[in-house]
Amino acid sequence: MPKLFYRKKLEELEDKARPLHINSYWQLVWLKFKSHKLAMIGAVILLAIVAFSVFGPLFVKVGYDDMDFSSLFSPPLTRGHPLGTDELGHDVLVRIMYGGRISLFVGFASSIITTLIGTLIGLLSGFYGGIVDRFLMRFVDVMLSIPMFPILLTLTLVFGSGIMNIILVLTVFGWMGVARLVRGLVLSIRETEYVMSARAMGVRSVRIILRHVLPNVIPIVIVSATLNMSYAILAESSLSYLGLGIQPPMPSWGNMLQRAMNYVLGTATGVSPWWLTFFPGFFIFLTVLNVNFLGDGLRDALDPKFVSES
Amino acid sequence: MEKILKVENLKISFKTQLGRITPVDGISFELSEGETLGIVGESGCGKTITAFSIIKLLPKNAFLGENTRITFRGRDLAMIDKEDLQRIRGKSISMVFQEPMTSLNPLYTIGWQISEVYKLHEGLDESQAMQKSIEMLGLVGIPEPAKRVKEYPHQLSGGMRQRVMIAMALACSPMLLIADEPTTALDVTIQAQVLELMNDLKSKFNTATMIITHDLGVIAEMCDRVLVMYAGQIVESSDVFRLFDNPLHPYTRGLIHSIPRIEVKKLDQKKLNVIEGFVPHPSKFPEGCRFRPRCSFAMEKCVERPPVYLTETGHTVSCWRFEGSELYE
Repeated sequence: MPKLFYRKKLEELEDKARPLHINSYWQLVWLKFKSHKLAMIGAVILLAIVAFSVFGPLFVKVGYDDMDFSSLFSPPLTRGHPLGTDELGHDVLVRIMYGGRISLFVGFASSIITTLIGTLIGLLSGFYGGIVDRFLMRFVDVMLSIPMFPILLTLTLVFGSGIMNIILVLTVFGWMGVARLVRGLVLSIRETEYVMSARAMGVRSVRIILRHVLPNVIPIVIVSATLNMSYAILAESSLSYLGLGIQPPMPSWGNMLQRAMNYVLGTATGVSPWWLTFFPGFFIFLTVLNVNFLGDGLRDALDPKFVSES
Repeated sequence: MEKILKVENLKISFKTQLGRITPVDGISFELSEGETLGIVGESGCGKTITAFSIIKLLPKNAFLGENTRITFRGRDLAMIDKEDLQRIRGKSISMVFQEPMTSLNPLYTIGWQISEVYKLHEGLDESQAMQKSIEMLGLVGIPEPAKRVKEYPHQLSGGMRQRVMIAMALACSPMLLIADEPTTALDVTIQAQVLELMNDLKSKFNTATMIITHDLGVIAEMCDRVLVMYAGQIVESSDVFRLFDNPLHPYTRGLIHSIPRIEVKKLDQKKLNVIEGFVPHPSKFPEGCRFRPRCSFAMEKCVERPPVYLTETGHTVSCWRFEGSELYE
């Protein structure tokens, strides 16, 4: 009986020790991502925030610009207004949902486009070097030295404000950091022996860029994309302040914060409506934080060398 | 035997901020089918860029001398266009690099990386290429190749990775294999295994091989002919047996005497023999014989550049001490 027990135990141990049979890279990536706790938490919370913003408004009867004049500046947990109301009697919860649609869209869209443009330019610049590099990097310098806000104001005058304009502006003025980052990485990867060896094997330049250099850049680009997204969500709020952003009554997390600024020191009744700043701020914070967790997990999962401790 | 590679008057210069430097200055050699040529010299002698120049992997600021001609199977490599070059690389000429730890892309399985060569040069599809990769891995002595193809470089030891590199290099049975310090990064027992493997495969595929090393042991083990390089020039060349029996150039002698030996012949010889000094930087190559400042036989005449002599023993050597021998070419 004990013998049998030990043999069973042994077999169990062997089973555990046997390396997992993994066929594809993406299977491995998924396995590692799953075991990265923070990243999984991040992914779940982000999904929840997205679902909350996208589907939430379908379940409430109140619109983002419906005003409840009987209830101005109501604190959270007031009847009918779980997160309170603002100075015009707008329901904060509803506005957070609608605002989330815009903030998340601006964040995702501009960080994705920024990252794509920046990566492309960084790759070209770093890999080809020489005159291509000099031209592109001087262009980056020029873009970086253009003062952004006067241009924004002009653009607002010409094109008017709107969500697409925000994304446009954030990408036009946002890709340079990524480009510089990627260029630096490519410069070091270009000199590695595996790239030399690929060239010695007769691999074409385009294929070397796409199959040998790019995949080695991606883990770091992902992290920078998550940071960019946080930046874009915050930048949208400053743009709103300048009048290029989302215009009230249409809410975004940024302009909700911006408007709440007027009452931070207290309203006419002397009470500071903390919920007007706290909730939009909390959602920005939650989103940015979890995007960063997600990026961290993705980076680790995409790197075959990285084996998690657990 | 067919001459595979002919290098005439190879001169490689670089434009740098310090001005123009010429780390490889006028070297010539030939290589025939099935032959193994060793190039030996200290670090900084220009061995590696000699190899890179053949496969055209020199950095962008490098350029070749006017009289330089590199002919591969009758074709002038300078005249070759990009497309042809990419067909030649990896298929007709391939290269094994010094550092097996970093010569494989960390993001792909070794199967993927060997398959890439087959897909590129032989137009095989995914599964055929993988099948060939497994065969090739078996050929270079990797146990359980069907399982190993799915592993990533970091899961293999240095010796295993060098075997993978060799498998990749020999995948399309190239005419010419250039091995740049193939065993330097490996420990001694693994070195022996890798050298044995290269010897086996060389005779199997009848590949002309060029081995670049600073390890005379590797030369003795592998090569038919040896070029001894110093400061961008060939100072001595001969077949491998003559070189070890009767090294002529003071530099070659110095190299051979500085091999560490376990048995101490004389009691007073406790220290390892060394050649004093370092290989000078290419911007500071001395006039005349470049080995002069480190040479214990240096004479007044050495300030002039010595011609190449062909000695009675069949060596070519570039040193004034052999003045009176027949001039070579």
